[in-house]
Amino acid sequence: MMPEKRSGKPGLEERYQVVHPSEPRLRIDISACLPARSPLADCTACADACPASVLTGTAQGPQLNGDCLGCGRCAARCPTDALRVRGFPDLPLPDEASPRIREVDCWRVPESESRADTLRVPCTGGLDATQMLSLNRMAGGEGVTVLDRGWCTGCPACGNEGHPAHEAIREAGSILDEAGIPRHRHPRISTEPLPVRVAAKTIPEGKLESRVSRRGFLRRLGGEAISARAQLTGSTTPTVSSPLVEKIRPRRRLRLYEELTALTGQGHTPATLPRFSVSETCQGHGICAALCPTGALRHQGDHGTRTLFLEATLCIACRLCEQSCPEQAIRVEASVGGEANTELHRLTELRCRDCGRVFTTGNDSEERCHPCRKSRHLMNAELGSVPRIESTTGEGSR
Amino acid sequence: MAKWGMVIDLDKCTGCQACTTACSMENNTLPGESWQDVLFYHEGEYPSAQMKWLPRPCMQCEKPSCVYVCPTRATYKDEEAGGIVFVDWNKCIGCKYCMIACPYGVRFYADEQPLVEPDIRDVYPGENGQMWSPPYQNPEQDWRRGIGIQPKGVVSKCTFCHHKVSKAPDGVADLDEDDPDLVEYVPACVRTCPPKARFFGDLDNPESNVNRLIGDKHGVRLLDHTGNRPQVYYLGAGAGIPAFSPRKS
Repeated sequence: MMPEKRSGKPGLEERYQVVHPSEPRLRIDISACLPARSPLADCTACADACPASVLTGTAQGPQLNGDCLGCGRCAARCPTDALRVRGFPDLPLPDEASPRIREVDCWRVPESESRADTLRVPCTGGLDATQMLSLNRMAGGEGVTVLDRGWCTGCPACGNEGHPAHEAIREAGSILDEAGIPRHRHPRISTEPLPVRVAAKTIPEGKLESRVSRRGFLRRLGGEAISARAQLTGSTTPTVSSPLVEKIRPRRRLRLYEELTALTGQGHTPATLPRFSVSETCQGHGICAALCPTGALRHQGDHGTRTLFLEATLCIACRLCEQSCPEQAIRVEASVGGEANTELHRLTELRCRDCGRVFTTGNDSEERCHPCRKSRHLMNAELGSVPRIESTTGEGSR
Repeated sequence: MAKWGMVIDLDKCTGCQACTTACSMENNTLPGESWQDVLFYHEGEYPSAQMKWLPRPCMQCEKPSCVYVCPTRATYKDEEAGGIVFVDWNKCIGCKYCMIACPYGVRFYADEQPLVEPDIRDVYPGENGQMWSPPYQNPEQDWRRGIGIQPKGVVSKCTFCHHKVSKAPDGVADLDEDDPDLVEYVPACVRTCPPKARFFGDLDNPESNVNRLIGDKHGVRLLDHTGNRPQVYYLGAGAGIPAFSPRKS
């Protein structure tokens, strides 16, 4: 998984385009935005998270109508990492050398007030639980401290639910609790008030990422070189893979499992995996797998069977499969209690005696496909008691 | 931008299927998978039964029901391209919802067992994920608009020969195959029609021949009660357009 992740970097940066030309900080990878991919998706996570209420979710992805604060709370909430806000660094992976970070401070605090070993981000609310876990690991033994300078609750980027980082810290805390990490090693908020007059009025805009790690810089450079080389060699021929529709890599979720592995030695637990059920009405159309944005559902056919697999570690619980199933056979039972790799449903492939098409069925003694059975039923109902309908056709017709 | 429309005069149509063949050649469709075909049917009862036929391209509806049901927005109506309904083969997942939604049955998914052996897909096996690779291939290829040899697992449909029509000069009222300057831009079925039963032009241009024909000869649209508002009109007093008669239950 990890080598692929690194070589997968080229092209990733270019995918992100500004949401609105007036706002260079907020960028989106539209191919990863769920409502832009499918009209069945009703995700409005970014719009709901925006404290300034300037984002609206539309069929073309989020639209910016108003002044963005650049706080990054939308990006932290996006289930597919489609949004990015400038100023939030790529934190190193558990197996990479990482600088020591003890505290997290926001850009409104003057740089002179932050101590060494401080990660400065536009707003601490733009960090999600996974990033909190990464920071906690980078803090070493005693857990990372998110600083509250006393003006957070009055800040426009705060919204109205206390400190902006509160939610992410609570989530990270519950994950750490389950992993058996004592409370004093959890991330926490610490109040170290500063007078409001030293604060920048808004989150500074033109500021470049001051603390990009050297590794992150080199990695990005390497990515650009690789993509430039790809352009030179002219690899523009349409590479066809099945399915044609590109899947999103749920980077945040995979990152969470990496952090969990670093913590406990065991990546996923039933508490982090959703549980699915597939009823007998499944006809094996495979629409759920074709629509699944991350490729968590996989529909495979070989040796006369068609099987629906679930790789729950990739599932982001968007419920597109539920909504798209014409038989309403698949259901996300719960967001917890699942297994990593399950075979959800297996169907046998048979050839219809009437129309000759390959069809799937759970019943091996079935001879005709669903449409042919249906038209037979109709014909029998129409013609009443004509017994020969069942007996004459089929044999020797093909 | 023009709004392309087609007029088919059923009084002139002889049911020769030249349009079907021309379309298949132009678009490299599989044998039997005709984006444009002619339906033959009976009307009336003996002794006054009649045999009738109806050429049927995609209607390029103004309100296409196929577009509303697509779960990936693969099928879309491109107003910039004259209101043609396209399938983006890069997005299509082959769920066939659009085929069920289409009231005219003019969308195709080639998964059928062929009626005659051998399977042409095995004779000319496809490359690069294409369904097949016939000896003659139209070089036009635009997967974003569903033009070219179709890949496996996608739905395909008539594109009003967008690869030809789009090259026509701006502001042209009609694409007439008798005009040597325009003949290369005329859709294959219109260009080939031996009795000249098909006309192609701009429905937004009040001066166009198609608008004049629709007005003078009372052009009608198929299944108008569905509200799909096709951009294909049928003319014909004698031949007649199949009437919609609600099923008696």
